[in-house]
Amino acid sequence: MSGAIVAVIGFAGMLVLLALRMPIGLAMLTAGSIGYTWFTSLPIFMNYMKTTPYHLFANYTFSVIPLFILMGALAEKSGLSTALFRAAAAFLGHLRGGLGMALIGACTGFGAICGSSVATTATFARATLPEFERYKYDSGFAGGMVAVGGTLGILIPPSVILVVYAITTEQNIAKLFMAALIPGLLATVFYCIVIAIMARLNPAAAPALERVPWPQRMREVVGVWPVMLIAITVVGGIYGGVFTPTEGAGVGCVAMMVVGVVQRTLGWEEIKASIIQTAETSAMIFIILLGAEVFNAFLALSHLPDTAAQLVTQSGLPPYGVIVGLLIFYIILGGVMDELAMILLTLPIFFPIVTALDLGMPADDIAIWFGILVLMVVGIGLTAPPIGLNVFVVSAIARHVPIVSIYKGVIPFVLADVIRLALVVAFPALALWLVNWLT
Amino acid sequence: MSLEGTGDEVAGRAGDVIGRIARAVAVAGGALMLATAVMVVVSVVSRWLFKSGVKGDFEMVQIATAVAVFAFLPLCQWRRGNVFVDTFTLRAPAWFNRSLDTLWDLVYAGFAALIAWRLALGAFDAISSRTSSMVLALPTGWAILATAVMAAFLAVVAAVTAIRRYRSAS
Repeated sequence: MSGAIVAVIGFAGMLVLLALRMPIGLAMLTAGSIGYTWFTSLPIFMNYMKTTPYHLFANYTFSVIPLFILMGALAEKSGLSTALFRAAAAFLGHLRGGLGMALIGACTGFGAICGSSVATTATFARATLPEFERYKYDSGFAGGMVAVGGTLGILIPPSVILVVYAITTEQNIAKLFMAALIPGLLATVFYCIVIAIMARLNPAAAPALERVPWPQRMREVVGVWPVMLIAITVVGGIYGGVFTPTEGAGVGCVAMMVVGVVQRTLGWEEIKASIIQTAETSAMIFIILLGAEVFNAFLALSHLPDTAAQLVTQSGLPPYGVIVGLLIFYIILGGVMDELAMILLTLPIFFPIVTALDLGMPADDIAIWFGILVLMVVGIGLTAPPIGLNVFVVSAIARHVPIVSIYKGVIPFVLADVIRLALVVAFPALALWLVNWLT
Repeated sequence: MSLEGTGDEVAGRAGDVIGRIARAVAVAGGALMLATAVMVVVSVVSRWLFKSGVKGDFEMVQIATAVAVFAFLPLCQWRRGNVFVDTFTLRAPAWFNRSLDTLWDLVYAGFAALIAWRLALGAFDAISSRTSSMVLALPTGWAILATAVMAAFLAVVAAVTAIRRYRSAS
């Protein structure tokens, strides 16, 4: 049997296990182990397992994942989301739809500390939905804004998804963080424009608040500037090459702790809760990383990735057509699957295809640009129907709001996301300009 | 009936103990990660002030990450934190889904046991050949042994969650 056929059978078997509720990391581990043994032998597989689980995780780059998660968890438990939201609302609340824009602005700030969209969504749902209710915002619109704002957690660097992309494709994390900044800020602007339009179309859904006087605005800002300074130091330090992403995340954790303890927003209970949350989230990611490692070792033995890349480059398909096709595939797959598992499963096959395409760019640029495109489709997958994880998170917290009305609230933002995606596809400079300027 | 009740109670209490251990192990792993963060800060500051960071900071981060990750795994399984796809089994009867979940817990227990066994062998190899890290000459074998022990604990946790699941199904 040819290697590629075995790989396809392995893939199909794994998808069946996934459909039968097997946890994603375990399904990849199971299918990968069987496939690996098929191509080699049981003693070789046993030998492989003797060192791989340890050496995979004893990895300097991987350490950035728990550290960034811890930094975000500490920010969350210290009540940063509420503070940011109040500060932004003091400035923007009097505009039509201003409270919504304040939410998006606060999510942008929070995204500069936190690298996870689910965490961002959950914390803002708890912190802001009661406020939206108090000021008589339409509940579906408000829920939609929180679900979409949550994606800024990953769209604005640091981003766990980008770290995983960097590790799988052996790209530079700092460069990917640079490339994500402009498309991420573009998302903030686009979301605010959507809110402004929606508020004008239906003023009753997004009433304006009273103007807040300047002295009070300043008081709200004073509480959040230390944390924003940390965010700028961490991301700026990584951009400037002052420290590695791991060091940046470490600095961020320690600084968050110090600020939290000084401002009395972090006590022992909050720190312990942050650690527990970090443990659980990191474990969930690392078990998928272990499964992906074994599964990809199996795929590499089958030579399927090389075969697929050759097939596509020799097929005469237009290179941009291939990119668009892959992105559409991702949006559809993201509708039914966990986004992290999706990119870990597909990148070993898609990445060689994409970097072999003749797009008139150096392969390194393609690799960075494609990472940002993947990040953006992941963002869409997290909010778009039928299965948007962020919408589920919001509806789990706002139990009285029907999920259909949250999806209705999300749709205008998803359209804006698709436009933004098309822009970055058409103009790779939106992602690459900052990278080339800074390096 | 009363006998069965006490049996369940004992199992429940044993389960609680395991849950508490899983929590303690995870917190210890998190504390290790925090300590690593502090070490990294010291390294960055000393590099800035004296042009040289903490000696062997890279390998300390590496070892700490591996040990911390294995410390996190049992708690995640205990609290059912592992993601799975439920899209295709939403309409399946509850007993069917619960049986599947029990089965996968057992498969996970099996893999964890396999990993524990292989890692333990790898650890003994490393200890007997005195394998050590590049800069600080830390004995890697003991770190691997620690991950092997936590993988074994993960196997126990997964088996216990399977039993609990099976009981709730019957």
